[in-house]
Amino acid sequence: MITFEHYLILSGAVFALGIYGVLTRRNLVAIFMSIEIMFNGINIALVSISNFINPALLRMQSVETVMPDVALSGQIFALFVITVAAAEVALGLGIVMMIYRRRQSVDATDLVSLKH
Amino acid sequence: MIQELTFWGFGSFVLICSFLVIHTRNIFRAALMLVASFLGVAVLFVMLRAEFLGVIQILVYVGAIAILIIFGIVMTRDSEQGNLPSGNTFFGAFVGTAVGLLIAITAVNTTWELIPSESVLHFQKLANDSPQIIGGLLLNQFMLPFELVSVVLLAAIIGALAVVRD
Repeated sequence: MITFEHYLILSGAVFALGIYGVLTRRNLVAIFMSIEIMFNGINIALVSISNFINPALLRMQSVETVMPDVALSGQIFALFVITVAAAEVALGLGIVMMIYRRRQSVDATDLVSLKH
Repeated sequence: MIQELTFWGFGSFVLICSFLVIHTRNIFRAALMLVASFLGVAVLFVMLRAEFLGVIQILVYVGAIAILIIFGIVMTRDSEQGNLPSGNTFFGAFVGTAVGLLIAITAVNTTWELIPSESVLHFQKLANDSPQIIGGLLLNQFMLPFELVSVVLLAAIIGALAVVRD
């Protein structure tokens, strides 16, 4: 029997892998890929919440009178996260391109000009 | 039975692919591993009765975001030895493990208000027409966030063009 906690722990593990990737990689594009992994972990959690959590209790309704839109509103959050991730990756890769054009490198350890 | 098999199979598939994204030296192969992990997450969405989101996941992540990332890799010409580790591997592993453990402990120790098992069937029936219901939700209850996210997308388009152009 696969329970809600299984999915939450899986999503936490994917999220933790994303954090590990962000902290340990040097290439800016690899850091971006790790951020996408973190978004995926969040989405697994949101969709499993929409599948397992009882929306009737949040609305003080009885379970049998729940309308379909209430039962599915959790998925809307995942949809918005996907949209924002798409916007983020377009903008972020634009910034990476600009950094590469100026400095001929996408290494995060080279971006220390504020230190000098 | 089939549910357990799919969960463990694709859950470990997603985890292994995500790990390989981080630990493959060739960054182009890492991007292909990222595509595989997106596909595994789409399977998990279908298992969670979010078929529409599974399709959207494949369309947006595999079809758009992965292609964008691959374009980014190709245009920055760093692909053979691009995915180098930085100096703080131990620190990263520590923070990652700490966050993962925190989430796992919180998930296990909280009492969740789950859907009672006798009405699971009722909820399954409600989720049957999910694209139609999600469309209705977006145009009624979630109208304001829907419009706001379109403004965010517009700002991202203009911002990306302005950043790349100069």
